[in-house]
Amino acid sequence: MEPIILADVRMSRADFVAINWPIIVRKRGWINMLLMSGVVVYLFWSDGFYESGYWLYQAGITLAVLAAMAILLGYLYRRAINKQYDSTPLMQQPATYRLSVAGIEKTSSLQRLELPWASCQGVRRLGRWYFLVTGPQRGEFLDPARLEAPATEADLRALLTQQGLTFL
Amino acid sequence: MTIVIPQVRVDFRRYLALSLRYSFRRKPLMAVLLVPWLTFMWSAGALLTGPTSVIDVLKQNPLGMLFMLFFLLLPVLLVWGTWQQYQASSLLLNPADYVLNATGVSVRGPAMNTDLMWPAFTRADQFGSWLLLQASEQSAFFLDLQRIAPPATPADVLELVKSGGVSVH
Repeated sequence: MEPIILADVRMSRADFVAINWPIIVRKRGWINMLLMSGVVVYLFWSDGFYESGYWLYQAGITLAVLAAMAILLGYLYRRAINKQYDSTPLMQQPATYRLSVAGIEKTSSLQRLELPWASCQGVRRLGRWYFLVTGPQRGEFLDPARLEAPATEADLRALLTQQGLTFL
Repeated sequence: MTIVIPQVRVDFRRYLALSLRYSFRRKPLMAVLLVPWLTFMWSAGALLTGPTSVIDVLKQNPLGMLFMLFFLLLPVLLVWGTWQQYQASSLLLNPADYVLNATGVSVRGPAMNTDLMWPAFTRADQFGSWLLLQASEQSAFFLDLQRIAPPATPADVLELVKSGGVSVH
């Protein structure tokens, strides 16, 4: 089988935010909002806020506080994602990947990498990207839009499956 | 000048200690968490040895009890999370050889072979005889300065890292 080449793969800031935003919301956003809602309602309740007065007013104030917290949380998450992008020069450089039965070879102006398939724990589909997981919070982003002809996305998937990688 | 650090492997206890020290260095505000933690640990101790029963406190102050439980479990969760991270990283589990020269760092091991230019690194942190070289926010290469092949010394390594334009903290 011919090696599959992905030339000049580059992760833009917009792509990186688009990939990470749903992950951070799913992993931390909901649970944090739930915990914070619990604390806010408990504090209001123990303060006697719900004992007297108009229910619409009580609900309105509670929701307004929760909405403000959600906006703040979202802002902090976005800032963290942007900071992560800025502090990873490796990701900002265009890189060429060469995938063969022997393993993965990556070449960029900052890095040359040889990775055996055994070091990949799986592959994750993130938007249009294929993310090869190589460790906790570590991996390689493959952009199928940068595949060099005649290889197709189906060939890429076939190679990944043939190498025993599971889609996580 | 080429410096070789052969067969570097970081064991879990060292990894945990270095991760904690790194976190406290980067986020000194984390130390603030120690205050409620110690307070809750102290009150948990007082509760278990004192005359008030746990059930009474649970009735009077359920949220406080929940917080106490959370703070009691916090160290367990922290160690568990770090253990999961450690086990998932083939780079940490296998010994690797590091070769440093004027252009960058080469990592040779069963998990990966890679050559990284100095501009790929964002910072370096020294803790005792260990140097953490960071190429991204979440992960670092752990260099054991005690294993440097003679005649090179830890000072030579730090000199090389600095001349590569990486700030050493």
